[in-house]
Formats: sequence, C-alpha cells, structure tokens
Amino acid sequence: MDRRAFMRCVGCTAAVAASQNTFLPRFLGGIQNAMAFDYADQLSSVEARYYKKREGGGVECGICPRHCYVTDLERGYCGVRENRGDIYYTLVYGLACSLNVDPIEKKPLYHFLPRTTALSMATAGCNVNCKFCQNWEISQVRPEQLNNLELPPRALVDICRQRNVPTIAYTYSEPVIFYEYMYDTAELGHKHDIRSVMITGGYIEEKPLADLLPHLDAVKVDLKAIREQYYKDVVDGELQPVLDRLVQIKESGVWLEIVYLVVPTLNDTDAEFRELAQWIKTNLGADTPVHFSRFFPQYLLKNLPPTPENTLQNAHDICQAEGLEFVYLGNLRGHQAESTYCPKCSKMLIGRRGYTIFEYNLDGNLCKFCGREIPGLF
Amino acid sequence: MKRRAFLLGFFAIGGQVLLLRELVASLNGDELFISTALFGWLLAVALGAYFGGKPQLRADSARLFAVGAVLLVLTVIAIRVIPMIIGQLPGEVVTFSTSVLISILAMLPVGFITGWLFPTIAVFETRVRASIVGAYLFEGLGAFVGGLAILFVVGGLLSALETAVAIGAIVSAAGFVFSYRRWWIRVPVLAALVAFLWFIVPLISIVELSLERYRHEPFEIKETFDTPYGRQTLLAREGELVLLTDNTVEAVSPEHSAAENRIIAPLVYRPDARYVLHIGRAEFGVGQIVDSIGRVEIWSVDPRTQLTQTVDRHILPPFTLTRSEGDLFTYTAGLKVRRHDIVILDVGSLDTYKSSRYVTPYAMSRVKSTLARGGVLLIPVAYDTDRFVGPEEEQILSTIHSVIGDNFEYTEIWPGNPTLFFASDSSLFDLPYDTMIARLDSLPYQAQFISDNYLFDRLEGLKRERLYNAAFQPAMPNTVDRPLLPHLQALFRSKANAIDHAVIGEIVKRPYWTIAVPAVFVLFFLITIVTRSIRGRFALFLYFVAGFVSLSLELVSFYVYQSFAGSLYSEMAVLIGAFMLGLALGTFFASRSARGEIAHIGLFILFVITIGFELSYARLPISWALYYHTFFLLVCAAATGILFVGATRQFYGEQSRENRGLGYAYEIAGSSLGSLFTVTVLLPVIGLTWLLIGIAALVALAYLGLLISR
Repeated sequence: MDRRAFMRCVGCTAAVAASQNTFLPRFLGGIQNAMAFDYADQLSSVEARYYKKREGGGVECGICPRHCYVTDLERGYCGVRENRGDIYYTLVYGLACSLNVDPIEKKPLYHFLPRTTALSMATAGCNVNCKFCQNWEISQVRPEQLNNLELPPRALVDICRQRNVPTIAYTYSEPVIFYEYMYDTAELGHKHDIRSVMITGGYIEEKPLADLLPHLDAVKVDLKAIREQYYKDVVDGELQPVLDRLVQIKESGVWLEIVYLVVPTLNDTDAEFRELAQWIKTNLGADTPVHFSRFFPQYLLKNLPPTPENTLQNAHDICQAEGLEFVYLGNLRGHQAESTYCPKCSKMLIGRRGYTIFEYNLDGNLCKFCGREIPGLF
Repeated sequence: MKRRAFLLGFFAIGGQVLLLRELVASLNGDELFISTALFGWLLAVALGAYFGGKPQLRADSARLFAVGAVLLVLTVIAIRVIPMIIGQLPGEVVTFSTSVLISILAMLPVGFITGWLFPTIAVFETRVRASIVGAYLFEGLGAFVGGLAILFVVGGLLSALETAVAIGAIVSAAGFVFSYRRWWIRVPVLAALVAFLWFIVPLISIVELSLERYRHEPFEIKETFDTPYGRQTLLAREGELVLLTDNTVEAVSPEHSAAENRIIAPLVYRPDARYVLHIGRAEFGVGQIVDSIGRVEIWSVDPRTQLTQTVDRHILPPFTLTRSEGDLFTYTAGLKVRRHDIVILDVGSLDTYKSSRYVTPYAMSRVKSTLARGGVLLIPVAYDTDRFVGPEEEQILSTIHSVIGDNFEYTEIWPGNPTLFFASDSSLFDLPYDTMIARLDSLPYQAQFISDNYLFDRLEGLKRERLYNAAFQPAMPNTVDRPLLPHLQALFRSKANAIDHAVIGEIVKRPYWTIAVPAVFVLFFLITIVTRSIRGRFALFLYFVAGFVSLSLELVSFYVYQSFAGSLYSEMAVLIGAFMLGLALGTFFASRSARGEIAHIGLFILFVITIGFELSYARLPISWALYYHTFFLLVCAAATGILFVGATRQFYGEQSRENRGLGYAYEIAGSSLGSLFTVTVLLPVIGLTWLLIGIAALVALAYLGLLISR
C-alpha cells in the first residue's frame, strides 16, 4: 500500500467513525438547538405574550426592543422563548432556577420597606449580554442547562405567606424575559397583600411595561451607563429605550431607584457621572435614589480590577454637587454613603452598615427631626 | 551541517518557549489551552519538515533563519496586541475557541520555518542516514543549550521581547556566517551582531513599555517585568494597586473583602489562633489585618522572590509577616516545620494542574503535617454560591469537598463569593450564629464584610442548604492519579460561549471518543505492517511512537514532579536540560553503534522505564524527586534517540531519495499528538496508572511490529 492509499484508507475510516459519532452531526446541526432537544420535556409550554405572527412564517417578539424575528423551532436572543409552529412560547413559566430570601437592602432598595425581606427569584435567560454580569451562570445559559425548580405563581405566593415575607423580587437574571411568569405572580401576589418589585435592566417595550406597572410596587433599574457606545460595546443593548422606560416608570408613580455599576475605565469618568446626574435630575427628579455599586471581576471581564473606592467616592460627590438628594455607595467598608440623610436638615434618617440598619429616624415617611417628607415606601 | 543543526535546535526551543509564554500571558491559558498551543507548534514543525524535504521546496538555510528570526519577533509583538486588535475590552477574557485558533495561527509561521530548516540542513551531508541522525543529534544539543539559556535569561536578564530580538539577531547572524566563509563578510556581520546586542536590545524595553502602556491604558504602570514563572505587572489607578500575573488580576490593594474572607473567617473558629500560614501572597490585605490584630504571626509562602522585592517598593510590608520562598510542598518538606493554627490555601482558579494540585489527598496530607492540634484549614474558591449553584459548580464543589472530607474529620462550607471551605480534625464548626458574631466583635480588628452586617444574609438557611446539597454529593476526588478539577473548571467557564461549551462539553462529558487515540495507533500499526511491499514504512510508525512516547513521558514527569515536589521553576531548566542531553547522548551513541538494528533497544528501555516509573513515582521522598525525574528524563530521552536512529536506519537507505524531513515530521507529529492528548485529555479520563500502562502497551506494540517487520 502506498502513502496515498494509506491516507485514503485512514480518511474513509475516520469519516465512517465520525458519521456514527453523535458529536459531529450535532455540532454541524446547530449547537444550541442540538442541546435543546435533549431537555425539551423539562421546559414549560405557556404561550408568550406580545408577539405577532409574520406573513410567510415566523413570529416577531415584542416584549423588548430587540423585536427578535424567530423562525420555527428557534428561540429569541434571550434563549427562553421559542417558536413552535408559529406559536411563541415561554419556556420558563413556573421554572425558577434561583430562590432566596434576601434583605430588601440587597437589591438594593433603600426607600422601600426597610428592614424587611424579599423572596428573590429568577429564571434562566436575559435579553442583553453584559460582559460584567455577576449572574452570567443563569443569565447567559439556556434553561435546560440548569436545575430548575417547579414553582408556579401560586407556590411563590404561598412561600411568602408561610415565611412572612412581604415582597417578591424578580431579580438576578432579567425578569423581562420571564414576563408572563412575573406578571401572573405579581397579580396574584397583590390579591394576598404580597408586594412585587422588579430588578431589571429596563430593556423592555413600552406597552408590556405599561401593562405590568399596575402590578408592581417598586422597580429598580440597572442603568449601565449614560453613553450609547457603552451599551453597544459592553452590554449588547441600547440606551435610549432604557431612558424612555425610566421616565415611563417615574410617571406611573411606581417607586423607582437606579443602580449604576461603575466599571473601571469603561464608564467611570467625571463627565459621565455629571451627565448621569443631570439627566436624572431633569427627567426623573432630584429625589430619585441612585446607587453606585462596585464592579468585581466577573464573566468576560475577569481581568479588569475592581472599582477603586476613590472612583465611587468621586461619583457620589459629583452627583451630590449636581443636586441629587439620595446618592448611595454599595460594597464599601463602613462608608457614610450607605445611610440615608434628610435633604433638609442633613440628619441621619436610616443608618446602614451592609444589609443591617443600626439607626432609624423616620416617622412613617417623615423625618423625625424636621418633618420633611422622604420619598419612598416606608 | 552540525553548526546549522545546533543553531536550529537553539532557535526552535527559543521560539517554542517564548511563543508559548506569550500566548499564555495574553490569552489566559488554562490546561486545555496550553496543550493545544503546544500542539499547534509541533504540528507546524511537522508540516514544515515534511514540505521542506521536498526537493522543489529546497531553500537557503541562511535565508530561512533570517525569515524565522523576523517572524519570531513580529509574532511575539502580534500576540501582545491581538486582544486589542480583535476588539477585546480592557480586562476581557478571550474565549477558549478563539484562543485556540489564535494560538494555532500564531505558532504556524515560526513553527513551519523551524520544521522546514531540518531537511534543509540535513542535505548538507550527502550520506542520507548520517545527515538525518547528525541533524537530530546536533539539534538536540542546540536545544539543550538554548533551553538552559532561555530559562536563565528570560526574567533574569532580559524580558521576553528582548530575548526574542536577541535570539533573532543571533540566529540570523549565525546563519549568515555559516553560509559565507569569507572573513571580510563574517567579521563585519559578527561585529554588527555584537553592536546590536549591546546597543539595540536594551532599547527594546522602551518598545515593550509602550506596548504595555497601550494595553493597560488608562492604568499607570508601576512595574512590569518577566520572571521565569510568567509576566508580572503592577498597575495603579485612583489609589488602587493591582497585581497582574500573566495579565490576570491576582491581587488588589486595598481590597478588604478578599482579605477578610481569608483571615477573619477562619478566626471565627479559632479566635485564639497565634500562627497562621498563608500559601499565597499576604501583602495585599491579609498581612495588614493580622498586624492590626496584634497577637498573631503570619507566614506566607510563594516562589516569586523577585516579585516580593517589587511589591515591597509599593506596599509597606506587614511587620508580622514572614515570607518564605517556595510552595506548599517545598515548605512542608523542610526539616523543622512550624505548626500553624490556621492554614490558608489560596488555590487560585483551579484551571491548571499547577493550581489544582493543592486540592488532592496528597496536598491535604502536607497541610495536616503543618497544622497544629485543633487547627483549621481554609480554602477560598472563586465560585459565587450566594444566589444559586449551577450543575457545573455542583460538580466542582463536590469534588473539592470529597478531597477535604476524605482527609479531615470535620468540614464546613460558607456560601458567598468566594465560597469558603473549612476543615479540621477537631469539632470547631458547630457554632451558633450569635457565638460567631460575639467572637468577631471581640477581635481588635472591626471587620466589615465578615460581620453581622453581611453574615446573617450570607449564612441564611436556604443558601446553606442549597450549598450543602451541592457540595456533599458523592463525587470522585481530585487526585494526582486523576486530576479532575481543570476539566471541570474548563467546563464551567465554557458556559460563557456556545462553541466553547459544545467543544469542551464533548471533551469532558463524553470522553469515550478518546478511544480514537489508541485506534489511530492500532490502525497506523496495521497499515504499516500489513504487506511486505511496505515493510520499510513500519519505520514511520517507529518515528511516530518515538515522538508520542517521549513527549508524553516528559509531560507526565513534569506533572508528577509539580504535584509532589513543588512548583517547576528553576527545576525546569534541570529537567529540560536532562531531556535534551539524554536525546543527544542516545542519538550519539546509537549512531556510533555498529549494530544494524537498534530500534528494539530503544523500545526495550522505554518499556522498562515506563513501567518502572509507574511503580515508583509515588513512593519516593520529596528530597529525591529532582534526581529521580532528572534520571528518568535522561534515560527516556536517550532511548528516544536510540529509537530515532534505529527508525532512520530502517527507513532510509544510504542512497535513499526519500524526503529527508519525512521521518522527522512523523516524529514531531507523534509529539504533537502526545502534547494534545496524554496529560491534558487522557490523564483526567483514565488516570495516570492506565495512561502509563497504555504508553507501555504502545511501546510493546511497536516492539512486536519490529519483530514482525524484520
């Protein structure tokens, strides 16, 4: 046998072996869908809302500004909504991959029922891809890749009642993508005096949000940056829809707080902090609480150092100088900016260290010292 | 020919080591990546040797050396700027699949030239067999000298880029000088070389600093230098000092959360502790906290003495801190080992054998040898278990717990980030929460993160239950024989990218495809002996086996040494030197032998030494390790040299017109397969014992084939 014959022989053998091997056809056949077929029977099949069928086949999702066009047996960007025969389904209805009882201060929500807890839940999936995501293990994977708990809305509400937890927080990943689950749970919760808070990136369409807001008691929005380019490069999203939704939430009267994660070198300039503060003051009001939180290496930005404490202090000082009344810093050791102070008399209203409150000087919504009304739900 | 072959070996080892270092530093190499990068290099060399042996592609060696030299420097620079070119954000990791593609492309030009040079040089000798064996011998000698030079020069005298430029200049000049005998050409060239090395090479540091500034903008670079262990960089911004090791954040100052997790957490269980051992660096917060407590002394162990001196210029060394050079194994092998009340084992990312060797039963036995009665071991691991535990994390956590639980009577785990594993042979962990807080409050240091402000949430019932359910699942332990953690960590990280997850998922979760490796050998074996007309082709199988077995055993030796005796730093020079020297000696003496057939001698030695290694590697005192592995590699390489000569005599007639690079190409191809599969893929799947048995079986198969093909 000469070399050419030998190579032909080896090549044929390899081809035969590969055709029998499940790896190669699955790999060529589509990585994501190949994995989905293994676990489909574990997922939910509840029809999604806010989609429309397209002429010629396929559906267009309308839950978020992506408006994914999804063909049969494909999923949207979020990975948890699937087209089956031109019916669009949510795959995570009643399937929570994470469940905890967290202090409300951890969300962080500082002007909403302090010293209480929230039943925090999430499903897999997300409609953006932030390179610094601390929950990437659930947000950037498909639901079949996780161990999911079957917890329909009734079960969540029952847990709250059994444990005397006053609030359900839809959090960790991105509740917009499990909209139906969140909506039904929030609606049911209200019937049992259980409040609902949404912790979101705010990347949602106007109509779904408008329909949802009456069932929510508070929203905390992660405003990633005030520059469009950052949303494009780091988040794979858009800024303007998020800004529009912030205004929409504020106008609805639902309690709103904002978190800005400061990522070193990417969104931490003085100009950005100033621009942020001015936008918030102009569009939302100076009494809208803003939290600056510290970045830690995560996910795809594992080699970027954590945010320096000085940068956070700088952000805080700039925003206060611009007139924002409630500017908070998180993950800093014993910093005074963890606490709430009266904008009028500057006395400490709520003294915080971490998730604990060591001093409380509010009379309902009023400052105990000067009587000034403090916005929020206390 | 001899001088050119020597030069080739010098250039080849320099190119391989420098490019591999750069790729690991720029692309954050885990164990899977390192093996694929090495595979890329060896494959390129094999291809170059094959194509370079074709008469129509014959080239001038001086020109090839010059081109290779320029390509080496350009490739090193390109690798450093690649993350920026492909649009990575500062601090963004490159995914595994992208890294592999980049590494193969990066290794291709220089590797190909290197391979091409072998047959190009061999033709300088007209006698075919003598040319190939001679080239191999002197290439081995050149690699021996080059390997030692690289290991002592890089990080000691010159940076990696300076070394690349220096090697390039030396090799280009030497290639030119060897080709032109006239003194009035040679002298100016040598003079220019000396001038270049003296005046120009030191200026490279300016270029290097500019590259680093560009890469790390807007951070201020305080220090940046190469060490034998990797690239160290100290950055500063907004009052924060950051230590990067191979462009990965290793430590930050000030960073109270990380420090408190390491020293305050174990003090909860041993508030009376007086002596603390920290395997890792303690200058970035841990040592400072110990200073403020007052009654505690701390030792830290890390092999990077040069880094210690650098850090001290920027951070005041804690006064209670005593620093030792070495690692867990070298420290505990000392004659007088102090007993410590707390041992903190900073294991790092667990994605390489270098880090995962700290989570083995053997490592636990070393820890226990330095732990006082009632002492506590703490292993912080960088998994965030505060809100959920994914399936891949479950596997990792249960594997870690399985090692700790099998070796200590009591264990405890705290959820959060980092997740904290505690272990002790005393019952210390059954503490009410109030008692824990009371102990924390009694410390002179007022902790913020390991305190009632956060702990009540961190240790909340649901979270602990979820973590216990995950970590207490039965799992195979991570052992020296079967190091599972790097694969599991690779699988965990691969979730960040769909292609990575598909590829790595198949490697880790469905390892039965590795049956293809022995199948390839059996098929190759059968093809080469099936008919008389291709009997000579069996020698190609011998070449392939020589390459596969020698590199596999070399990597196994490095792995075992590192797992038992300590980090491979200056010892690497001895081990690589032994291997190269053995290769040269074996080739030399075999070429002098009058015996016509000697391949069977090489195979016999390889068989015996493989079985001997399996029977003895775990039974030696640590103090013997360096001598043992030096001897092992020397003999293994000598046997490889003998086998190479035997295969050459079998394949090439004296007047053979065969491609002079073909045999060498097959040998390097075998090496590339060895680098890709044995230690990285097969070791965690079948274990070290079966891997060595498999290698011995392969050698036996080759011996059988030799008998049949006579």
